[in-house]
This record gives sequence, structure tokens and C-alpha cells, in this order.
Amino acid sequence: MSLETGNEQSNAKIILLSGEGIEHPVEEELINKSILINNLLQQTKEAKTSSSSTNAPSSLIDDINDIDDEEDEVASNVSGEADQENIVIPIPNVRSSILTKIIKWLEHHKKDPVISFSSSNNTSSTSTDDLRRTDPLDEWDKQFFTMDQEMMYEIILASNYLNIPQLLDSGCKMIANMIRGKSAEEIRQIFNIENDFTKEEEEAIRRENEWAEQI
Amino acid sequence: MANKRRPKKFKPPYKKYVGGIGYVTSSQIIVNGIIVDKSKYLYLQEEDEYERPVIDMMGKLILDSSDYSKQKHEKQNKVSGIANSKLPIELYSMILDYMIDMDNDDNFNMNKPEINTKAKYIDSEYSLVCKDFYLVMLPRLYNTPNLTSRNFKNFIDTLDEDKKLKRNIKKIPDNIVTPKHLASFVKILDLSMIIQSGKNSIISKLLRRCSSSLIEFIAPQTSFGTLSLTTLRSCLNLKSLNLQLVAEKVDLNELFTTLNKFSSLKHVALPRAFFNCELLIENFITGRVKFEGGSVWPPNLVDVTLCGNVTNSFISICFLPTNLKKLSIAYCPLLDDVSIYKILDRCAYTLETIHFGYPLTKLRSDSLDDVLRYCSGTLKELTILVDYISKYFFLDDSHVATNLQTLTLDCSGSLSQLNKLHPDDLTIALVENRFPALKTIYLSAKIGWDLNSDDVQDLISVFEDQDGSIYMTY
Repeated sequence: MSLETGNEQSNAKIILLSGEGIEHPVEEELINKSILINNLLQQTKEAKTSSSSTNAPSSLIDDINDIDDEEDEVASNVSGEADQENIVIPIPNVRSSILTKIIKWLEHHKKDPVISFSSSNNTSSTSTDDLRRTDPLDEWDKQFFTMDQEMMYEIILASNYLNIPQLLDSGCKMIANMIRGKSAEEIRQIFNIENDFTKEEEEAIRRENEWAEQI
Repeated sequence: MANKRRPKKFKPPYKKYVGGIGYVTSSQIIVNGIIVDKSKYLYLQEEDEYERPVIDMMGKLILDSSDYSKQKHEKQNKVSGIANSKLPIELYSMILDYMIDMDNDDNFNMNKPEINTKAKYIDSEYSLVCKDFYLVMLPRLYNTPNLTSRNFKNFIDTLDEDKKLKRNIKKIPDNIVTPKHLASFVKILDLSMIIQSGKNSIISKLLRRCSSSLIEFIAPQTSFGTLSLTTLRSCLNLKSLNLQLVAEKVDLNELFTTLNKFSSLKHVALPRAFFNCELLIENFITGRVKFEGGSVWPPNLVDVTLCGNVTNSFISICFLPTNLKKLSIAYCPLLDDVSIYKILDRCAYTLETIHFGYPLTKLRSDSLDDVLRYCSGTLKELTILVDYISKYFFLDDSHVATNLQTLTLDCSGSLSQLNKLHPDDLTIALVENRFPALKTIYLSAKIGWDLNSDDVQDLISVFEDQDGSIYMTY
């Protein structure tokens, strides 16, 4: 069973295997926006060249499994033509409907420039991409994220897992805009967070934060 | 003198009669109609709030093993409030960053409170969602605290409370609020809005508490005394130090002895008033005080603001570092043009930004004419005072700035400064292509140029051909 989303004429095709085992063929150029898959593919190619030079047929799979053997297993299926092969990447923790949505997003943002993200950016509020954080979300993305919240969370989780910074950025912006200015109780309800503070602790934190409220 | 031989008072255990149970002493307690030893009962209660003692009819404490394990399991599950939530904490942390930035953006938050310090507006409500949110918010809340006269005392009290908790943690192991070392989260301390609100000792205490993590410090206008200067020594990770607002006289000898050891310090702004400049020079020449790297200045400076009574001898003996990127000179009444050119001669090869500010009272009306002759191709931004330049600043053929992008012509507005420069002077320089990369010109209204006059319109049209734009500042 397969869902055709990419251009079939394209030479480089990657098949993403969703949690339900459904195949999603996608152009390599598109999926390269996922840093995880991009790195994986690069390492696969490197492994392939090294294995072909050493004539060790099983070393490709071994090498890839060494790279990330817990999460991803890459199997290369050699098709009828000798030089053309489809790489199957299983993504067991992403549902098929989510994967379809992500591919749809990737197709729309095909021509967007790749934004480079440094590892230090995501922890500090004083990072260099401050301007980017407050860039308005484009209309298409707003339409894209008009879905039920469960699905939105799943897309964000998947984009975090696949490491697609632009999609993660859009998703986080949508959620941030949605919950901004809400009370703690409302945020708890939205995210299904349990209040693990005792009354005394909450009171102590309110007292501790008093200075921040007196602007 | 107390009589040590006197026998100590003995308190007999208090006994009371409880109907149906009998006599109960003060060390015992009645639970579900049964007499239990108080200390044992309370100990068990404190040890684990889920471990409720089950008491049988014989008055012995029994714990049901299955209930106990169940309660333990529940306790372990209750560790995190986000355990059953939609997203992991790293994504919540990312979303919080977006929320904070949106709260600070005028397009998203129209009701943003006005903040005059370097701090961001942070809604502390977010930290009340759950413990994980609280821990994520702590560094964001304390990174750059927005301190004003209204909340300064409260902030100090909060840090004090935390410090006390830290000190007494062994004495009160079961305290609800655990110490977080709040002061260690403070990275930027902007005290520019603290005016007449703190004492010397309080500022010094605050500086000491935050010293280990502090990377930027903007000193307050008042209450920055010798004590604070001494405390400054412990801020070894400091990258930026701004003492420009300090109104009190600062001991320059003490200041430079301290700063000399800061290897990560990159930006420094000297105070407006200081003393012991001559003593510093003497100590440097005689070697009485050992300065690292053979210079009184910190080794890795890139941005210096010279201010106050910097003397000519200080400039000629205590050379500025050669790798400077930005230089600002303002409020230096003792500095003459020779010293300024000495500085430029030494540093201009790397300088990208030069800012001259009013007043520089020892300069003549054309003292800064030759600034561009000293500057190299690295110069991108220049702010110059019309008070100290003549038309030859623009008319001299040798005054070329190949990479200059922004030029600001400022003016004090004093008498005889009006119309000192003519728009044609600048137009000629542009036509002769001596500022090929210039894109922005800021003109002070005090120069007295009429934007609608033909000369200025000529300048604008010539500059527009170069894709530049002119702004008038007031």
C-alpha cells in the first residue's frame, strides 16, 4: 500500500515508512529539509561509497545501524535497474496522516531558503534569531495549522523528531500565539498539564515573583 | 552567677484521663481511639506523607505492604506535572521563548509595558503552570531582571530569601521551597533605573551575589562606591562594563587594577568622573602595581568609551589596545586633538565605529578635520561633531572613507555652529566619490539646514543616485 505524493519521474526517491507501515515516496530534494534524514542520507552515501570500494556488501546496513541503531533502520532495496535504488526509512513514531501533512508542507515550502540553526539557539531567549521569532506567520501556514489541536501537537512532535526547523518554527509560533497572555490554569487545560504545586508552593512562587510584576 | 549545682527542674509527664481509653501521657497520641506513641507516629508521617500508619486493635503500627507499594508508585508517577501532557519539556521551553518574544513585540502585544532597561517583559504567570515550567522560566526571568526603583528592594529580598534557604538547608531539610541559587541566573544587571534607591552596601551585595555568572553590568547613577568597586573584582566573567552613569568619583587606579585581570571583558565605558589618574600612571611606570600583558587595559577589549577627566598623559603613557573595533569619546574636557590623533594613529587600523560626542572642550573648531586621514578601510560608521570640523573635512581630496556606510553629523547647537557646514561641501565629497559605500546620513537639525532648500535637495538627489538615504534627527 503506498501513497504517491512526490514526482514519480524524479530519480532520487526516498520512501518514508510510517508507523502503520504505509509507504510515502518523497523526493530527496524535499525531504532534505529534515536535518535528521539529510544527515542519514549523506552518511548512507558515504557508507555506500566506502563499502563499494572495500567490496563488503553487508557493511552499509551495519554502518547505518551504528549511526542511529535505536531509532532508525535504513534498508536499501536495489530495484530492477542496477544504478537506481529506493531508500526506505522507517519512521515508526509518526502516523501516516501526519506524514502526509508534513510532505504537503514540504512541497509548499520547496523553494524556501534553508535556515541554518545553531545548537545554542533553542535555549536562550537572547539568541541571534530573535527577529525570526517575531516574524509574522504566512497565510498558507496559518491555513495549514487550522486543524484540531491533537494533530497540531503531533505535527510539531514529528517535525521535532525529523528536525525540520522551519516547520517546527511555524508550529511553535502558532501555539505561542494561541496561549500567549493566558492564565496558568488555562495553559494547564490546553496542554493537559497537571498542577503539581501545593498551595504553599504556589504562594511561595507568587511571593518570589512579586518583583517581576512590579514594573 | 548561676548556681550550676542546683538540681535541674523535672517535669513529670502530664497525664490526662480520656473516657473509655484511660490515662494518656503527653508523649502519647490517640489515633482512631487507640493510644499511640507520638514521636513514632509523627516520624512516620514526616518520612512519607503517603505512608499512613495502619493501626490494629493491639495498638501496634502495621503498614499494609500492597497499599504501601501502590502509594509509592503513585508518588513516583507524580514527579512531573507534564507527564501526561501533549509535548515534551524542550518544546515547551521553545514555545515559552516564542511567547516571551511575542510579548515584547509591538505587533503582537499592543499593551506591552514600557521598559527602560535592557530587560524584556516577561509574564511571571507562565512559571505557575507546573514545576517544570517554573524551572524553565527561572533562567528567563532572572537573566536580565527589569529593575526599577519600585521593585529593587523586592528583588534584593527575594535573593536574600534564597540565600538564607541555601544557608539553612541542612537545618530544615523538609522545607517546601528549595533554594535555586537565583542569583546565579542573573547574566545582565542593568541598574540604570536605580536612582537614589539603593545604598552602597546593597549594590555591592547584589553584585557579589551575582558575581559568578554576571556578564554585563550597567552601574547605577548613585550608590556605586568603593565597596562596589572592590566587589567588582569577583565578577571574572564580565564581558561588558558600563560605568558612564556613575555620578560619584571613582578611583581610576583601583578600577584599572581590577579590570586588567578580566580576560573576557570586551566592552568598557569609563565613568564621567574619577580620581587617581596620575597615581595609576605612576604605578604603571614604576611597576609598583603589576599589570598583566604590559598594559593597564584589559587584553581583549573591542569597544571603549573614553569619558571623564582622561588626561593627555594617560593617553600617551597607557596606550589603548590595538584590536579595538569601536571607540567613543565624549565628555572629555582635558583631552586635546594631539591625544585624539595619538589614539587614532594606534587604533584606527581596526576601528569600525568611531563616535565623537559633545563636549570635548579642549578641541578647536577644526580639530577633527583630519580624522578620515587616520582611518583605514575598516571604518563603517562615524559620528562627528560639526562643532569641531570645518568644511575641509569634506573638501580635502585626501579624506576618503572607502567602506563608510553610516555618517552622523551631530551638533551641540551652540552659538556660531549654525550653517558652519554647507550642504554643497557634502555634495562635492559624494560627487567626487570619496564615500563610495555611504548609504545613510543622519543630520542633526541643529546644523540649521533647510530640507526644502535647493542645496539640500541637490545633496539628496546626488545621494539617491548612490542608493543612499538622509534622515534628520532632532
